[in-house]
Amino acid sequence: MLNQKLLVSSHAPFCHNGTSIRGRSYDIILASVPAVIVGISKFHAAALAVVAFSMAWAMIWELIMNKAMKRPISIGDGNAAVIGLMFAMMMPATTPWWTIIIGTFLAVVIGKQIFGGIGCNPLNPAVLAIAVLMLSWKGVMNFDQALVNYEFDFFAPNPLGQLKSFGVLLTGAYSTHDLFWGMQAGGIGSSSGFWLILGGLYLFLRGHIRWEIPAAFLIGVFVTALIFNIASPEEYAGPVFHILTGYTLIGAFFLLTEESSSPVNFLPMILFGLLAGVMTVLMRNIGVYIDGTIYAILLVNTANPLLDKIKPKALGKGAYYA
Amino acid sequence: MIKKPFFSIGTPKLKYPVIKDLNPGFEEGIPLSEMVTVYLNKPCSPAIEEALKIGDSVKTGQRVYYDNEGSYFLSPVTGTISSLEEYIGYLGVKYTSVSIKTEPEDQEDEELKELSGKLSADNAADFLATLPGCSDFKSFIKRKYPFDTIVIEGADDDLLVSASQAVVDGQTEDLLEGIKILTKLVSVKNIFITAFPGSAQKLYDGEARVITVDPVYPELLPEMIMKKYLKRTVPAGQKAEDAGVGFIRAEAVAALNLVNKGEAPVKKAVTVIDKTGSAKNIKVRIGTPVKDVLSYLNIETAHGDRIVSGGPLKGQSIYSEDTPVLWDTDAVLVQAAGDISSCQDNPCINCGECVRACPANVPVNMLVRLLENGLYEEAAREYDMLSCIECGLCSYVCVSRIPVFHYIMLGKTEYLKLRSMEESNA
Repeated sequence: MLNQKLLVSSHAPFCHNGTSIRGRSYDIILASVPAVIVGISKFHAAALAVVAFSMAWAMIWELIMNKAMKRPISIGDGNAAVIGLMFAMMMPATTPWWTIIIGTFLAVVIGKQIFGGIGCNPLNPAVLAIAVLMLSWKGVMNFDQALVNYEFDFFAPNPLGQLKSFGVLLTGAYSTHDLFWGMQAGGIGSSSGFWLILGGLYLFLRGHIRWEIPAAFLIGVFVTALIFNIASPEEYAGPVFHILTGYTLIGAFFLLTEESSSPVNFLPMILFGLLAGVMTVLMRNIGVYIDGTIYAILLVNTANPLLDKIKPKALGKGAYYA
Repeated sequence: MIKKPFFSIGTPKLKYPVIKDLNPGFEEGIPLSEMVTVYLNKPCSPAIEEALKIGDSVKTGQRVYYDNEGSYFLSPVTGTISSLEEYIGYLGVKYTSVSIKTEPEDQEDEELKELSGKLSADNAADFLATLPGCSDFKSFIKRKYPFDTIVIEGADDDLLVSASQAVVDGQTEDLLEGIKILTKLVSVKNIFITAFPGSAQKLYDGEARVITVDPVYPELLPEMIMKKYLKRTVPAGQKAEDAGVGFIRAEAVAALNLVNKGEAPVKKAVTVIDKTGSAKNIKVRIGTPVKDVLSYLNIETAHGDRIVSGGPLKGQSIYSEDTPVLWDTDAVLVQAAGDISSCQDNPCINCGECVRACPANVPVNMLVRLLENGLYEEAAREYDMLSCIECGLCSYVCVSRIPVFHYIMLGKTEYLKLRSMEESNA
């Protein structure tokens, strides 16, 4: 019996294109490396510590939940590491250690695991954690307060904070060139302009994200900001300023495109992106919060199941042969 | 096997193999096996055991087991029946497996020989139940609602398989004559033949209108040909034949001319794909065990390999090397143990690859969630399970490596079972 030759049997198809969740996660991590490196060079070793600590804690929470719920160990698929990384990229470099532990708990446990793990989260886990932190510990998430001890060779105040507090006049102090190349205060990986676009482009070419969502989001931000700007240039900043500051670019390429909380059909993806873009600028311009991207993303995440009902007609549906 | 390129945007572009050389021919030298096995389209019953005695001798081309319902097959060899067993095939369909011990000298059946030059609508159904490339030719020509259109498949519908193309290129005359005979056997308005750009030219003289198809999967699946070239839609949950369009392999049509010439149609064109992925077309006596085909081509198999009867996307894996090559076995695919990508039990991450790959616009991401939980009726009603045209691309692209295609086939089978139970109780 032991020497018997047995064949493997399974259902068709007998080939696979080679993609996997793990490969996808590692690609997302790879795509965000340039932005993170720029952040580390800007905020020094403290930023590296935040990134490493939050990735580690995201994985620890995942492991704890796997054990507690008696599920197979799933940290190998890299999704928890990605959540930890996304979370760290949006945090200031001076984030205290306990905030990271709480934040990754919120992301991995509340945002993902209690819904059933990967693929079941209705909201982007990292964004959910940031939203809770923004509401609970305003000081930690205030970049001007958090980065007060840094000496930068560029205009240091958080651009969106300046816009909210002092109006459009002060935004003249920021050059588009500086903002584009990441010379601005903000989250570790979320204020790197060009490098985020580069990472997004890589993910797009690898087929991990679709152009529809980032493009629609950026168009939504651009057009809405432009309308505000045209209506009242002395009160509202221009569209390019909105695109290059805050969480706009990381939102477009890394947060909105999170698989589980975004739609899959063409028209829903466009609507999803546009809606998020419009809401972002509305919250920034007329809301009380400095950056509305986080809440805009959570809002459209909840609209996702409804949006995805708009789907093309399946082949042969409703056709009858007499 | 067929991997995604490093940079790729949009849906996968899987190319069919196109035979460049216009006369590749077949390898024909495979010796007759000592034992051949064929399946009769009926579960094994006392009636069959009564009619087919072990030790009965059969001749090549002879009708074996001809009952009042007209179920029979044409014996591919001369020899004696050595065993009868029940065989359960794909989706639980039951057959009777008939093994025949062969004799080296072929004796051709006289009745079939008499058909030479005299094939007609009356006698074809009585003598040609099985043809290479068509395991049920009888019900193809004897139908309650006759076809209005017939499409001859001059190109195979699965990847890596080129048997039908090789028939078109190597047996063009038989094929063109066969089309003439087919028009005599059935009266249809339109006959089409599909072909890839390279071999389309030589079919222009025939009586069938040529459809030149792009060699991109799944262009050649019946539903796709109907949608794109015939501009007709197959209703969800039905087959092309229910919509009045018959699909038949070019090989079966070419075999009609063989019968007309007085030859018994007993050899099947098979593409054999070895572990390195290189393919070879070979003519095999129907009923030959797969292991004889492989050993003739010096393909060795080891513990843990996978052998597939059919192509990589639509074939069926077999669990024994004794499984025979049958009338509709287009390919034999051998995969080394190390090349097998197994399915995993990850949940769907909603990446949408399947939705974009699906040629039938099925919302696979939602469908698979229902199927995983056994909600087959809801899957059929709300999420278009029955629109699936069974191309297998959803499983091919799945990032979570969910056996989506398997789930859908299970769902369809269970759903149809439920429905027929309800109907019988009503």
